[in-house]
Amino acid sequence: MITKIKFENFTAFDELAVSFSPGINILLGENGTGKTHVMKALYAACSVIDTQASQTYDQKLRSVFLPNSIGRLVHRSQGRNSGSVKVYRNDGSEPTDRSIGCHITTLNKAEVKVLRWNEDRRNPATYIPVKDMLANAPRFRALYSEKHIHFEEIYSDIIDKALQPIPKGKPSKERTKLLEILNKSISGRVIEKNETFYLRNRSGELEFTLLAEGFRKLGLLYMLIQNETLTKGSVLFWDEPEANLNPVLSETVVRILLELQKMGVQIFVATHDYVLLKEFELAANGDSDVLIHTLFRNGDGNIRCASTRDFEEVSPNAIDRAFQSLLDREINKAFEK
Amino acid sequence: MTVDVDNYRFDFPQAVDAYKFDERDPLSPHYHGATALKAVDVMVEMPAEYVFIEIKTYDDLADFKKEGKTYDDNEARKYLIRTLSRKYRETFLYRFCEGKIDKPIYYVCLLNLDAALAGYCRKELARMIPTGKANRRRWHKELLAKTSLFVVDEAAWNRNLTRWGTCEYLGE
Repeated sequence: MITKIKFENFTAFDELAVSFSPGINILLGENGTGKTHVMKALYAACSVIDTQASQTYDQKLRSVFLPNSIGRLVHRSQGRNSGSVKVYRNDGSEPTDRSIGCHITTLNKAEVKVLRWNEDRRNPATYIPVKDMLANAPRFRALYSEKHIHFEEIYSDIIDKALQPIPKGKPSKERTKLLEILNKSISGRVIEKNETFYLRNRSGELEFTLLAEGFRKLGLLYMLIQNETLTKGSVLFWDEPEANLNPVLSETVVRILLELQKMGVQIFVATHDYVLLKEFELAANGDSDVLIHTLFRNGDGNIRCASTRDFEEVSPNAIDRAFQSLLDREINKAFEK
Repeated sequence: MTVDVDNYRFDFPQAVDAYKFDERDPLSPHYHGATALKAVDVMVEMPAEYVFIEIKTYDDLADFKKEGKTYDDNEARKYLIRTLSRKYRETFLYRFCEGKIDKPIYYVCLLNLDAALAGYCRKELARMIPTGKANRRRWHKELLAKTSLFVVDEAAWNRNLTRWGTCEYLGE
């Protein structure tokens, strides 16, 4: 499980260290506070130990951030010409953390340092980007590997994950339960033929391109659970699950995420959504392990992080502020006579 | 003019009158008396308007449970809205009988809900009271103007309603 990340002059951050829960980590913050950057840096580190991986950390950072040159990942500030990111992990029983770090200069030099990071190839990481890719899956992977197309690698990776074959044998009880929840929400099950995804139900098969984008998201989750990509010891990164999802479905998403956490999946979610956060608050119980990280800019404009397990203690809370502002303006408008 | 009700202290410096409206003490000059009617917690008369204030917290939902009905979130929500709307309507009737609906009325529900839930609650409550003219052809008057209903917590009160006074939670 990922335990910590440390940035020094890396992308949006001057200096930042965040410790994570082995369960669910919710990243909050206004646009431009680096939520996605945290997740991408973690994902790149986890991808290096994936059994399918062939890239080094700096290469993976380059392909998931897609800067013009790797030196562009150094935080822009006067007098600084280098930056670094370091990620730590521990399976819970190790006396000290394993780590991987990447030091980058503005002259495009990158140096990777590892401490027992690559010794065990597991923790397959999955990154669900904001935009759905399953509908565009047919031949996308071939195009991505053969041509220079300007897509961050997370978009190609997620199709790879969704297309993983389904293991033989009966799925476990927990997995069956999750698939049933999704089955009910999307009124069918997801199948794949020649890299094209379909929703199959009593009415027949519906191509993903004809399916509402919110259902495609749940369909992706269906595939990842069915093919056991999301399994004990894996790490899931999900950027804005709420995008294109009707708020009514947020309850299902949160239920699934909490069940996955119970199964031993470490989860990172970046969100701007009140409903999603509220669903976590309402669903959280003794079995759930949810840590909320709020990224914000301090008086000097530098990004800092405040972490809490108490939903009422989340501060600063940009989501609440938006609703407060609406409430204040509604009241004040009433007096404008 | 200070009023202490349900662990809250209100201070209305410019009020003509302000008192606990749901007064049960028969010796009090503000004794309510009409026991069959629901009543808001605080009545404030400002020079140009009346302000009805009702205080409800999550703990008040325990009353609902005590009634022995099946408890679920949906029923609790309905109970809250039903209670808040009934309190307003029956207070309005009481004030009508007192001959005191001669100024515009504002209804403030002081709840411990966050801003998003307060917005939702206001919408439901406005429908249930109802605010505005429920029948545009037949109604000539409103029970409560559409823009005169507010659902706030203590912080939102003190950000937006200090034109009437301040509100402070005193603790249990």
